[in-house]
Amino acid sequence: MLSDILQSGLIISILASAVRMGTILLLAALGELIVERSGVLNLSVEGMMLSGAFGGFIGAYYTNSLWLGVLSAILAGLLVSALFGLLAIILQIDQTVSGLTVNIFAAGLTFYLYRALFPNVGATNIPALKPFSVFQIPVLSDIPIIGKILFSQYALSYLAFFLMLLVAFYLYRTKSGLILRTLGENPRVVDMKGINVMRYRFLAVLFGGMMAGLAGSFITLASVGIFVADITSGRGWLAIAIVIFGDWKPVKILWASLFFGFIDALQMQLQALGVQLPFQLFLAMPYILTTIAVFLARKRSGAPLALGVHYVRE
Amino acid sequence: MYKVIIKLPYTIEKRKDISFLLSSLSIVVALTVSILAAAGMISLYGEDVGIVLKAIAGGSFGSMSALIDTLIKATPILLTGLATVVAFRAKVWNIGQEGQLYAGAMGATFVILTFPDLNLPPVVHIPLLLFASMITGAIWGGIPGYLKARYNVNEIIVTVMLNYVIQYLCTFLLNGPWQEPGSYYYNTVKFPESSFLPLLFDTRLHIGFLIALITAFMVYFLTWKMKLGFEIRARGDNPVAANYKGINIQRVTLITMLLSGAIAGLAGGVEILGIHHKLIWGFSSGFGFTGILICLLGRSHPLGVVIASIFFGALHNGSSAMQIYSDVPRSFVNLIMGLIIVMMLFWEAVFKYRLRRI
Amino acid sequence: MNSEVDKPLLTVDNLSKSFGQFIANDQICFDVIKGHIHCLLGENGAGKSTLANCIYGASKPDSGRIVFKGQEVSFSSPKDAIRQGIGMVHQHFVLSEPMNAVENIIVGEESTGTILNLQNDTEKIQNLCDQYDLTFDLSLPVSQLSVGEQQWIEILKALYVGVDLLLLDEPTAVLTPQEVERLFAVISKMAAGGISVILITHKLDEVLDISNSVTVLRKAQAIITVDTGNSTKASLAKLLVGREFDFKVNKVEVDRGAPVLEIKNLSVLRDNKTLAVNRVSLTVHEGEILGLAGVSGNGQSELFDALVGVRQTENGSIRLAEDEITNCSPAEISNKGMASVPQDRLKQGLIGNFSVKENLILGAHSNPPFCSRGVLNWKTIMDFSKEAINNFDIRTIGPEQKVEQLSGGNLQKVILAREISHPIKTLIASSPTRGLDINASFYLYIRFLEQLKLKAGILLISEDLDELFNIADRIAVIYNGSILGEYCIEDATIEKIGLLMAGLKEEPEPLVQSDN
Repeated sequence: MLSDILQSGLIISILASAVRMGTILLLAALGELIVERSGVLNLSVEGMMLSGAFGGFIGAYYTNSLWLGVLSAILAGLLVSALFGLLAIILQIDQTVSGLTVNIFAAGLTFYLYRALFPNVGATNIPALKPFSVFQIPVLSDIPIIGKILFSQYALSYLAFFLMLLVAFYLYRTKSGLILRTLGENPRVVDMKGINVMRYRFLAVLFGGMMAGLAGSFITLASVGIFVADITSGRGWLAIAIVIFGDWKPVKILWASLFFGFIDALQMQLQALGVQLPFQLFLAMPYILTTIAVFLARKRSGAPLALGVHYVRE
Repeated sequence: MYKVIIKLPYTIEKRKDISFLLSSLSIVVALTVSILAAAGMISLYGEDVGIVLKAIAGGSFGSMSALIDTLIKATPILLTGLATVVAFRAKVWNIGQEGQLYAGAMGATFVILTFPDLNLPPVVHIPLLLFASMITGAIWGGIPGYLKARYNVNEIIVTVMLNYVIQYLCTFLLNGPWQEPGSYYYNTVKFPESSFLPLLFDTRLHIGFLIALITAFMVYFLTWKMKLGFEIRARGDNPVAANYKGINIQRVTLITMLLSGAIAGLAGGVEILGIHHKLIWGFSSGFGFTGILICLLGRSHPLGVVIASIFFGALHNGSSAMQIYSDVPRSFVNLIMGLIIVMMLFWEAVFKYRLRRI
Repeated sequence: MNSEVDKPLLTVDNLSKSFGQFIANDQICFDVIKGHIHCLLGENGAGKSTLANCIYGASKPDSGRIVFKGQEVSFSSPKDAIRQGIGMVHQHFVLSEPMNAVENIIVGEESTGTILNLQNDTEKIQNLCDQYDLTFDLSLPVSQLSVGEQQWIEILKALYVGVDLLLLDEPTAVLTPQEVERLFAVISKMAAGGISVILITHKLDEVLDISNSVTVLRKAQAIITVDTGNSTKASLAKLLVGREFDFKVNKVEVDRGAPVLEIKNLSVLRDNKTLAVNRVSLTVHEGEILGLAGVSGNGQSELFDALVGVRQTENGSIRLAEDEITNCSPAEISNKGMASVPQDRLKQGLIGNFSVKENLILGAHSNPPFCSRGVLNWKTIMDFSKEAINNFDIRTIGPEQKVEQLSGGNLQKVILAREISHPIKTLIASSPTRGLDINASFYLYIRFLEQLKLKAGILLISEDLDELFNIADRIAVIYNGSILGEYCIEDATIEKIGLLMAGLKEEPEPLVQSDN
């Protein structure tokens, strides 16, 4: 068994999967990072990702273009997040309640629409499409080991890395990013400079929605090519946990996402490794680890001070 | 580009407080808008709204049989709704009702499978099993409760995670040590008759509904008539002041999660002992999450939860009939429920503002 | 100074502002000359803050006009005002704690580049600091700076944008004497450089120290504007006080009894682990009010928290009559006979969403007769509430009304009713009359004095020296977490207490007889 593990082919495969699954989480986490840095706690990430997965599938299915599917996924995420923004930011309804409600609503809506569009789906005639294939970066993907892991990924993964750099740059090097960070710590500072707090936060929420939608599209369009209920299986919640675990910093979030991706990937391959434990344990592993992770992160100090608190001008 | 500014002679300001009348009016508006939206969607679908509504009504209340089915469907979500009420009143965000419900079902199952030859009369056996389901539910709620109380770990994430964990555990057991010998399916052997919940008035309605109603009353009593309920509400409304006045916030947090988990666990026990008489995979069609929905719809009040759960059971039932008479899919019901909650939150918030002439 | 008659930089001309029935500013007139430091002197409630808000753009006056730099102006917002050259430093700072000074100053400013150029901006700000002799670390997060340094950031915000007039609202309330000195040095430099300053204060010494001219406000009106050079403390005090009725409360002599609250060598930490209370020893006796004076932020909140059981103590002991209550829980301490009136009514003392009757039993809700075997006895609670509402003259629709709808004075009455409806041994009150009008305050004093007759002892933590001199039997002063001194009321004077509050422990040298 040990010799099997040592076969570099398997390890490479796991690590490549890790990057793939990790970047899905990374996309959603980056979106939520921006939202939370503005002071808003958006718990509807799962619903937004699901909407993205659905929207992406539908878009691609009917237009026969995967990239148009990605665009509709982003649109779907945007719409759902706009609903959240309407409730939580404009109407100032409790953010936790708003997030949970939007989650429930999005789940109901996507499932209904799917059934409405494909009324006669059974086990044998699930609507499917041809998903993205891996895009090998020329030259770089020929590097032994690293090439397979880092440079033979789906386009969406490269996009995720790029977005991570963009988000980091935005947060720490731009005027708007500074305003955003200040919003999360003390929105009054920003308000007194004459900047519209509500509008800024709403825009941040929309960005989070687009990112979550994008992440969702990754699930349907870059791996399985079908849509089923609960296809996101809690990844939205993992994304929220990753933001906490990554102490609200982009680079740490990157590592956290890759780590969770690794666990996910490992779980899929462990049977191949011949490990003699029930497979359900491995399926449960990401969730167990997330629980441990938030426990370990309980003393994290990076949380925006005004997170989750409505801003009321006095 | 020119900005067009339209200045109306009105300004929007927030009300100081909202009267009961206005609050109720917002609910009415929410329901009306939702029904109209539903009707709109049905006709968009090409169906006759009248037929669909009649089918729903008939399927939910049209006959004794339909009514029974409605109440049966209402039972588990009434209980999970109550579990949510207890937690949300304390502003402890328990999203783990689904997992606690599984824990409860598994607890009862554990007792039955471990002690197969207990020849107890139902009047002893059933309370014992239901008690076991409450204990296991409480434990599954107590874990996030303890983490929150002692370490201030985010209970939303932990409860959601534990939902997945326990469902996988359940799958493992149903595919392994608990699986009915010789069966290909994920279920246990049939439970002994002494564990069957008795039926009411010679119908299919098991006493689970009664148990749920009693629990609703008990939650009401707890919340407004008991010291613990007072402290739960205090924690939810102002934990700082509550702390200053001697309420042990950590203790209240933990007890809230234990109670909430217990009630959700009870839902699980009731469902398998009342309907399936075995632990079978998929016995819960999202009862836990629906409970959250029900709590929000019922405004975190036991009476509201009772009404909302019957309403939801009715819709669910009706949707089966609707599927027979039309092409509208069943999942329409979930969408409508979601829409109603969004509308309720929306209109209640809108009614908090008013137009003032300037 | 300048003998030229300059056209004033700012003219306030018959400015009035009301809030409903309440007149906050009544035809206020005064001028500020360029490069001058002008004080607005008045007590709490005289209308200073409202006036400042109108000048700096946060409020719109109802009538009158403001002329700035020769033009009549009407600001739509503080941002509008700052763009035109008027800035304000508030009493409560508006800063982002985890971020540093530079970030706080440049955030959202037009001059800040879309791509941040922190080095450039830091240099600019450093230059400003050098210009005004401000030395502190611009790279440290605000949370690690002292209160004085945080205030400098607020001032720098205005200087960075380039104001011609800066308002400062009670800036010395939170500063140590050394910090006050440095602040005044900065203000003087600003004035010398042509920036006018309006200093809002209620402290006579400050007015005399630094201002060129002062407008005295009393009861919404500008009584007079005088040159500081021609004023003395006595003359200003006369203008300031001019009360219509005697504020004094009639105190009946009560015999002082045995110690009822003994605090010995108590040390308490803040949340950030720094020492807030430093080996404090105080004793309150039956039948007396011990006042604890001090600028807020010198450890009073932490002391209060430790006494009521909400905060751990590091060292020392607290005794309530016969019982040792150090580090006991709030419930135990309350049951042993301690009543408390916290500083922040709606945050620490009451549950806004709960009804009056529920708040009246908060804390006592687990005890008989309100509760037996875990069940609340609502009938008894209702009767008790009706009685308390009557007894304490609480203006409310009824026991079922949500407490957040009540006015400040009535909120305090609810708390009071709750705390003293049963016999108590000691009462700790923290700034109990803050934000209350004269009548409400008076009511509180009367009820406090009643308790003395019932053999309770009261610890009154307050910033309001009038209040302390009115009803306290002894006054102690806390500064930087330590008790600097204690006087019997007969021996205490405002000067002595004021000196201690400012941290000056030594006896002042005997005054040389001069023209005074």
